[in-house]
Amino acid sequence: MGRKKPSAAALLFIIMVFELSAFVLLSLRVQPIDLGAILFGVMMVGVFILQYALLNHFFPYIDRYILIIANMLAAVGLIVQYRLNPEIAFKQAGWLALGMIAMVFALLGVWKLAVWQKRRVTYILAGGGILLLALTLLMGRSAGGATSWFSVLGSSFQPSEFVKLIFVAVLAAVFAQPLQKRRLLLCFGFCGAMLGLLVLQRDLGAALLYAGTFLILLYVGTNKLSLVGLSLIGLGGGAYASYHLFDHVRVRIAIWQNPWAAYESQGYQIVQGLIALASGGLLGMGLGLGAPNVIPAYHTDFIFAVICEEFGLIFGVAMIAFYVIFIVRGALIALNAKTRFDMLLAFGCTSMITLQSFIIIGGVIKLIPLTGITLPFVSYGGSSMIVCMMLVGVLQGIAARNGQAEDEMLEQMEGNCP
Amino acid sequence: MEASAYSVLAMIMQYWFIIAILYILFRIVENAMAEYRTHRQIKKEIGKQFFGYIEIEACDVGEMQGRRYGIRKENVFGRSKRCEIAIPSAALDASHGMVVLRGKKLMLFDLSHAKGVYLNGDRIEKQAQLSDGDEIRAGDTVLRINLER
Repeated sequence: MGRKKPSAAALLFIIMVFELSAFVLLSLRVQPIDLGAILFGVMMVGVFILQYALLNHFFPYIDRYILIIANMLAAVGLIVQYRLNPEIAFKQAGWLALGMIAMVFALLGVWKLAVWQKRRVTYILAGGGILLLALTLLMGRSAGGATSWFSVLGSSFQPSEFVKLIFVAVLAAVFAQPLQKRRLLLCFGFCGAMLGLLVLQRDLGAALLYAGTFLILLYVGTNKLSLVGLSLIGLGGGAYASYHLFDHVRVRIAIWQNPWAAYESQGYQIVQGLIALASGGLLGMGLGLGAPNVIPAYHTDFIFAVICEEFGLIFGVAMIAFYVIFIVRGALIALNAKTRFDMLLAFGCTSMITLQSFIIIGGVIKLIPLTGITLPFVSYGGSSMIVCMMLVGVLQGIAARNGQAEDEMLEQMEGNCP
Repeated sequence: MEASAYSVLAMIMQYWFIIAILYILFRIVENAMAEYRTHRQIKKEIGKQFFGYIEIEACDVGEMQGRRYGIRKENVFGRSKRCEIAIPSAALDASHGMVVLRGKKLMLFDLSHAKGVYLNGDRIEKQAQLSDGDEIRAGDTVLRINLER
């Protein structure tokens, strides 16, 4: 008995038509016709199809829908970035290609290597993560109010993005073991240090994301509500303290409560985002007809506002639905996992990506205080794109392990009837 | 294209984009659900038929070595071709012994005439209960019990 999969050809075809039609429309925006847009679109679609086919051929057990959703979101990101500024789109396409390669390495690393649970590896990872964040704080470059960039060889990268992988791997390794007071205290210390460093870097979005992922993994890993409640109190205390200690936290809360009061200064970004959402309405203004350039950070943090303005709120809700499906598929991989470590790793990666999307979308629509963070797969940003693809790769590696184990069982079962 | 013509086109295309994304969403959900259903079926199948397996660890018939057999309700091993676990070894009786699933217990029965069945080195009296990792020896054949759960 083989594992038959329903064909995804129709789905891929409609996605292809969707992406190409958007680029054809973009090419008509200027006079004479911008052939570069069509070429860009064709190449993008070609790379996606090639990547999908190759991955499906070499790794038959991967979760195809997670891959399709990641590609679809990345494609929407590229369409919007090309509309904003073709130069950015070309750069982002390069990052996406790097991300795809990184994804394969992450997949193979998780599938074939069994070192991630070793105690020594966990200590090295934890130490390395703290060191990386501390170095960024001391020597990093600041942009957009956060000291979270490092310049290496002319291009800057954001360590807090890469530390996400370390964070998930360390927590999964800790919670995969039976509970132990000493280990738990060490783990709390590790998380506290990470969060403290992120708040000091003024990277509040990342701090919120790490805290949320920690809570989810703590609950999934220990199944103790008392521990979760305790850490909630701890995190709440930390948040309260940082509200009183740091100016930038107070400012964020104030502009969240009433951005119009500081319309000329700090609230400007949120207000412009809200205006963009409102002017787009349900159906949107049409691709290329909005005025996204007035929103600060339109191609990174506020890309969701740009999408809603030009494509409409229905489209925006559909994008949120993609992230929701991502959660479901990620949770299914986690539930199918054969070891506790695999399960926790899958839950960690899923919650990292989806929490991040909810934190930034919530910030843009003024549901929660705005914290600068990228929209996974969609926003412009090299580190973010590569790390998101690597998180997908880790998920796919676990899916590959699950599928392989199940196929081995099926084969043994067939030994019954020679 | 002129700006006014473009804006009309873009507004028309807007409807297509919305329909397309909703259709893509719908297809992804539908396909994913179909895949989930088949996957659940497979898991059920594995769970139903596959309580564990019996592996031939050592055997005087070389080609049989290392083979695995899923544990069914009744698993007779012996020389005869009719056995579930058929081992063409002269040291075995036609039906030498039997592993039976009774509720959640796995039992071993001696069906041989005089040669006997050994469980973890001791000859059994008619029947014995099996657990994970047990070694069954019959003639020159060694079987190992592997339970999944």
